[in-house]
Amino acid sequence: MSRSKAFEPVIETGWRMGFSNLARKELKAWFGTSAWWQQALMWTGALGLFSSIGFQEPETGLMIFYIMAFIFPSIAVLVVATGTILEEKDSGSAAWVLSKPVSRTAFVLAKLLPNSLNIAVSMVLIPGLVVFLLAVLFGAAPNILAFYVSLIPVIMWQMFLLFLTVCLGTFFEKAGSVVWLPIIFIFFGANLGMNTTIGPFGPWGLLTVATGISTGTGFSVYPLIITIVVLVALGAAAIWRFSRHEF
Amino acid sequence: MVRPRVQSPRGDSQTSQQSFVISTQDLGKTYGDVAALSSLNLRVPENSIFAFLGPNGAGKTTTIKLLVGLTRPTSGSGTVLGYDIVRNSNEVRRGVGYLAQHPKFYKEMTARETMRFAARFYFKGPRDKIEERIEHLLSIVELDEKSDRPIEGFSGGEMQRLGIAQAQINYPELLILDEPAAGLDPEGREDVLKIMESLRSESTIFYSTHILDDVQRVSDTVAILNKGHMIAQAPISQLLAGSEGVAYALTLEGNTQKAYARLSEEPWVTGITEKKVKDKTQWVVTVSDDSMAKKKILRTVMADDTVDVLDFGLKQYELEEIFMKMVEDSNNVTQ
Repeated sequence: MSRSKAFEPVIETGWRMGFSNLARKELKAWFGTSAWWQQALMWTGALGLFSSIGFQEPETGLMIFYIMAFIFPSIAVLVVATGTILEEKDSGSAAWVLSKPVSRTAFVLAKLLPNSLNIAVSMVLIPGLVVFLLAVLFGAAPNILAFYVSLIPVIMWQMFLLFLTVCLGTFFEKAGSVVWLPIIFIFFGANLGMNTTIGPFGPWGLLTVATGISTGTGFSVYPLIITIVVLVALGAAAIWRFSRHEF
Repeated sequence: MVRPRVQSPRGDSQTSQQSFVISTQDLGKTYGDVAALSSLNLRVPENSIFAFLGPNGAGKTTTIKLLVGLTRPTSGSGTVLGYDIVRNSNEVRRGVGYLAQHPKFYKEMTARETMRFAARFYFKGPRDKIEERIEHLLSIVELDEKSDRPIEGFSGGEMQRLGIAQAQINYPELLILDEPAAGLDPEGREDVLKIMESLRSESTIFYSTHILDDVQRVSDTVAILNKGHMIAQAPISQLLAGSEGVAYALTLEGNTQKAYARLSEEPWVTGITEKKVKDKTQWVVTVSDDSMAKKKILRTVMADDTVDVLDFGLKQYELEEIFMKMVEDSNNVTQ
């Protein structure tokens, strides 16, 4: 043990124990490889293509962008989120990591927070920038500040799907049990959001918030508040369940 | 870090000054109605190579997972390096190195990156010292040539060696290895055993196995587990001495009936086990008085002209014999 005194020890304790190393690993696995630009390229191409079709009518082009941004990158989010916890539980790498001085809370948070950043950059912010430039090119430029603020609800939607999938991944062992609910939200979320009765009362209402911010037509704050509450609840549930998981 | 010490409890057969790095009290684990582990009282002395022996499904991996906090006990308690395995699991994991039965790392990482990742859970720096440590451990396990290749293409033996190296990164006081040589070819097994022997001066090694040859070669203390119950725990020399007192082995040729009858009548003979091997007869004679046995066994047998004695000596028990007998006895008791 005395030989280890030549080293500067990690001082993270309690729930933070191991978080910085795990978060760094998740960020490196994304930004340190081709994953980040491949995802950015794919979704920039898809969203740019669909949006440019509608830019003859400025608002139509943006509406297409938001709807597509709520659906297509979400599929990639689902894939990333399923792999991040379910595969690690199944393969044994999670058990290896947890045999180190790592808290289970840190393990779950290191899946949720860095991946939120990865997804926001590659699947929302970069495609969003390109779509904005296309809108300028087509003479349908929205207010730049409003447009970029409108991407926050889009990021929150992707975070909702990430948190939901990770949370379900802590409860179940099979991919089929984990993905069905997020898939329903991906394909029917936009419809739910446009429903006047239940639209504002869930993360699905974030689509109308995004378009409302971008077009300046006003929006309800309920979806934003409810989504924040839901994210905290899903994160807490994931931590609670994972802390009881037996390897 | 000063850690609490667990001393031998009063009345223990070990010396009272002995420290234990692992100590469990009636530790148990059930899954539904199935008891994977029952009332385990394990004492692993400091600075030993301790073999945790048992057939498949005996509860060895369950015990190890309980010790490193990957699962929780349903009864009893335990300490590792003096820390409670439930309440102070974080401290336990700071002080031990662990190798799983089938180690799984992140396949996109290289061996060096895996070592760096493992090191960062314990050390922030200095970077050159960490790199030095990584280089040293990779060379011990002979992976220095492959250190920058993704581990995806590693063989089972290479993965196992990397597993031992990463488990050693934090200078652990205790190294816990779950079946470190299982599934390896003879060369791979030999490599792992050599590494274990070379690490003996740095850490106490607690390892599970069902390979008896390996146990006899590298271990100094053994515990035998069967169906979740511990059936023996002793220094290997004590175990090999046999549990039935002093015994002599004889290999004979010819008609042994009269010699058998004559020897059986001796008051100091407590039992004779006979086995026929081709045209020869093997006896194991257990005795209550060693000095009488030394003087009289051979004379008594050789008094009969129809018997030739081909071999005679003190019975040397093989671990396999002890193990098989103990497991068999334990199975008979539980039936």
